[in-house]
Amino acid sequence: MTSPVIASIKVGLAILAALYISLMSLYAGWIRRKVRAKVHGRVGPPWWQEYADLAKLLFKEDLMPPTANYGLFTVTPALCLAAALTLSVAVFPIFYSLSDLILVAYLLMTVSVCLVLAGYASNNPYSIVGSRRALLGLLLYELPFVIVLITIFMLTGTTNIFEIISWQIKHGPLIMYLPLSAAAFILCTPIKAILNPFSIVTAETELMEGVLLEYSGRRLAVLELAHKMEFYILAVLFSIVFTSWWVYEYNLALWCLWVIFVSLLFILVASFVDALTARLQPYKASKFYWIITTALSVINLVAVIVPKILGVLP
Amino acid sequence: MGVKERAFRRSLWIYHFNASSCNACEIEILAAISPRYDPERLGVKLVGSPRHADILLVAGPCNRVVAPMLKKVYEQMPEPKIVVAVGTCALGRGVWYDSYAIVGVDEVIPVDVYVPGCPPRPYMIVAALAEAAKLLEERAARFEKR
Repeated sequence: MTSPVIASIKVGLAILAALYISLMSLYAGWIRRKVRAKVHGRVGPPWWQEYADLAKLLFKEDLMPPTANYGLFTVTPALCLAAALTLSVAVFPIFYSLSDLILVAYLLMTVSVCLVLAGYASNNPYSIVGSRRALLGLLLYELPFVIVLITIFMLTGTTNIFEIISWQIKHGPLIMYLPLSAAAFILCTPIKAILNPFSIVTAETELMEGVLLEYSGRRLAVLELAHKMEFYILAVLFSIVFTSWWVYEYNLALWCLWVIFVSLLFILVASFVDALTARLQPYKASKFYWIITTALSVINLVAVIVPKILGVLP
Repeated sequence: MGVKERAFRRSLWIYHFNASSCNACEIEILAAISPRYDPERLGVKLVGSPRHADILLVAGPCNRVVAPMLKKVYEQMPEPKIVVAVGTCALGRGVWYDSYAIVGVDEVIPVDVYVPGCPPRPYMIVAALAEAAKLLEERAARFEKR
């Protein structure tokens, strides 16, 4: 059905999307560090700092502790990066069957599970505690996150990102219909991206980077890149799923600019919260997620389901 | 200057090791990474694991109990790496120059940059880090990954 020209354009777009996400995620990491420096009253690193860090890690020696599990220690970074790259193609509406919220949710989870496995594979007491905390984090944010996705499905009747965008073009941005779900999505970001009020996974003062403790050189570079990509992908996902609107109808370039703008705004806000808050204890984080975030998402789910049952909404 | 050297010069990840120091040098190291001097401009970042580090900051005279740990931490760091010895104790054992319990940092691991002073001033530590960056760049140019 599809001609080879369109197929090759799509493959080119996919490569462009993966490149864009991997480069911008490092830029987002720099924004995070710069915002923190500004809050401290410092100058902060130059804009290419994160790229220099990554290049340096790629050129460094690659060590493996003798107690580590060789297979897992080697495979998890590669798997993590593969999931993040697939994810960066999947969040953009390029391939119809790939851009699906269920797939996106699974791939986001794959990145987190790879981090957990990386911690267990290095077989260090601190990394194992970090892995346990990462598993706790999975328990905490997956429930509200999936409820948010279910709410979107209930309202728009689809999980495909193409369809969600066309629904938004017709009816306006989803954030107007699902403000509490959007809030729950935003609240899920810090623990997924390991930002400060909920940075219990790689608590650098107690766990010394936690799951990443035993990694060095290339493997560390790959894990860090995948983890930063996850953060930026969450921002892009938010801007596509919740805030795309009529601009897409008139101009694709305008829509791209809008997505970039909203995702950078998202990252700026997350970085400010990261710089201004201290780390919560794990049990306080669980309380917060199980009560506040889940409540927000459930309220909005009920607010969508009840009119559906009563027949007010189509 | 290639990408490799430039990257090593502008990205210094530091692991700080206390080799039986009296904590005066630690306080000055913390002052050196404070907003007033802001070494993050040079790409400095404190890391919690020696596996991530490029530079090992050692303070203290290093007694016999700590010496094997210091050696172990040094061996855990990936190549290329630089050791910066902070303070008079790490430089020449200081007031413990003839103590039976003290080994001396430079007899356990090879030290590249010494910072004199008891304790050294923060700007001297920042200057030592800049010096270490230069050395790291040279070492990176010679370093070939296996």
